[in-house]
Amino acid sequence: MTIDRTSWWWRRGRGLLILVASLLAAGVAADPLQNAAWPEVRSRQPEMNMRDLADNVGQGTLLGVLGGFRSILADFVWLQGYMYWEQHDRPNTEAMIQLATTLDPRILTFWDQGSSMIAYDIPGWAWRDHAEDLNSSDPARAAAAAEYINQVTLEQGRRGLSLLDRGLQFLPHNFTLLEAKARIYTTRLKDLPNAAENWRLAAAAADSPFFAARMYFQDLLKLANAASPDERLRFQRKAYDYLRQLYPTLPADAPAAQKGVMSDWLRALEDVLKIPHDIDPKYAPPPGWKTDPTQEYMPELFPEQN
Amino acid sequence: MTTAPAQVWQIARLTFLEAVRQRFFNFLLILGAALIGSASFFHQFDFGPQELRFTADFGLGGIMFFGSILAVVATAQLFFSEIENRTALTLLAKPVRRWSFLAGKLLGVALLLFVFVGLLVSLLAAYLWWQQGQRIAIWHAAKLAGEVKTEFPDLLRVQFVGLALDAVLLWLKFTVLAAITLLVASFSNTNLYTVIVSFFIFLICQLQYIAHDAWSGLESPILRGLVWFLSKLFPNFQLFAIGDQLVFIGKVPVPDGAVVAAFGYGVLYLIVFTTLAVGSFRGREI
Repeated sequence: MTIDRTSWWWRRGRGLLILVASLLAAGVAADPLQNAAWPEVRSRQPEMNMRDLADNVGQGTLLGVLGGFRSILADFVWLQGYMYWEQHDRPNTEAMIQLATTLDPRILTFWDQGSSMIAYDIPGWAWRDHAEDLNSSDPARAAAAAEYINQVTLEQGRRGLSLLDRGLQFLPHNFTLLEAKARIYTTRLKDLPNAAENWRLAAAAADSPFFAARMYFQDLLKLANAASPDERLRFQRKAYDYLRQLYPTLPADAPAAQKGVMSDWLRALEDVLKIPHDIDPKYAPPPGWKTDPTQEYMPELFPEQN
Repeated sequence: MTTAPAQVWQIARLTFLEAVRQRFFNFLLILGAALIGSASFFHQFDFGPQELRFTADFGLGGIMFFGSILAVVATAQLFFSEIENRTALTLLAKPVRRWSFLAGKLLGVALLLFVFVGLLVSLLAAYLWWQQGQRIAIWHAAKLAGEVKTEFPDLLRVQFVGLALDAVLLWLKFTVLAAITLLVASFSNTNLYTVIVSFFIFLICQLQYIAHDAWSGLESPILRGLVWFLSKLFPNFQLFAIGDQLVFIGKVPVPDGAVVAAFGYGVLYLIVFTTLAVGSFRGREI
């Protein structure tokens, strides 16, 4: 069989082959240049990291097509979500939160307020919708409503946490998001170990307020309370070690640091753990501090030892 | 008899003059300017904390959007107007080589895009300068009142040299897009087909980074090979986004080498697409 070199197919086919081969060669030749610049582009726009193609291809497409307009579009999507939120429309509220965070994952408000809407507001709507059942004189009906609300609360809490976990991929070590996680674990899921862990991470975040470290410390003491006697000592020791590490970093002149109260905690834990009081000046109470003689907060956290 | 560079320059000059007289160019220019001017209005809907960054993102987004449309539509229009009016026949009957004709067209469009980007980025820079002046004045007043202790942070300041470099990279990206359009036009028969195909290619180039980043993580060898192939076939237009990172100082400065590499990448693809367009146009019957 001979090839007709004057045919349309031959000419077009040859042209196409040359085009593809040239572009492929150019692509390979341009690789070193691309590899030199691309990591810089990507590291500055973490939303462009395509770690999981199946999960992120939609986001990648939106980001790639919208370019600089994605911020304003995300803002309008968020406002639309607020309208659905006002109408207590759960599916659309959540859909708009997901879309806004996909379009512009750099905005902290979307993650923080979005998780709050999902984890706190939506169970509140369920509560309101079933108020009549909850107050019913029929115990079975009231129990079913309570069980339903409990399930919604747990499910929405998990969904809120999932949103915050996504947010932390884009805004790593962000205090606000870690604090929101800790609060959801505490109030929605009643999961104290995870709440404590998130307070620890929040306390370690840049610009973390003083109270985050205290929250972690108190959660450790609550964990001690809930544990067996052997485990209790382990948690109390952990709380003590954390406080010893934290205490010297607290400024004496900042009321929010509550250095005086923390010095009381240090002494109380030394008493409970039967450790001699450390006389090192860096562990001394702040000048002029007078220990609260009632110390009402302490028996609650040392129920048996006190 | 004129030399080839002189011919190229003449064709470029006439292409540029023809293009700037078009209502389409002026329309896009006015739209782009209006969009930059409306950044303050749109900022009231923004949930991000930084007004200057929003203005810069929004303005550059507008320039990118309208510039891409201009690069594709103006190139296709200017090329096909020569074919449809038969002026290309007259021109190529003279001792003007086909590559000179095509290079002249591309240079003319590149000049047009330069004016477009230059005017809009200048407007954006002036607007950012004015906004930044206001922010600094408010900051100083707060400092005098003891509300803040530090000077206006460098992280919030607009880097005007960075903005100029970003403009150069934007222009280069549009010029590569114009070269792609010229390549499509060199073998297609209609303006509409050229515009549609070029926009599709533009979209692929904007999304090429997904293929670039994803191919190595795919398990199926066939899919992996296909994605690798696609990632090499089209340029990665997101690479030019490095220019956007120069407008504000990041926690870690962008290395000069990365900017040079992005520029080199653009130049390489400009040469490749122009050469392919010339090769394709040589065999075309006019």
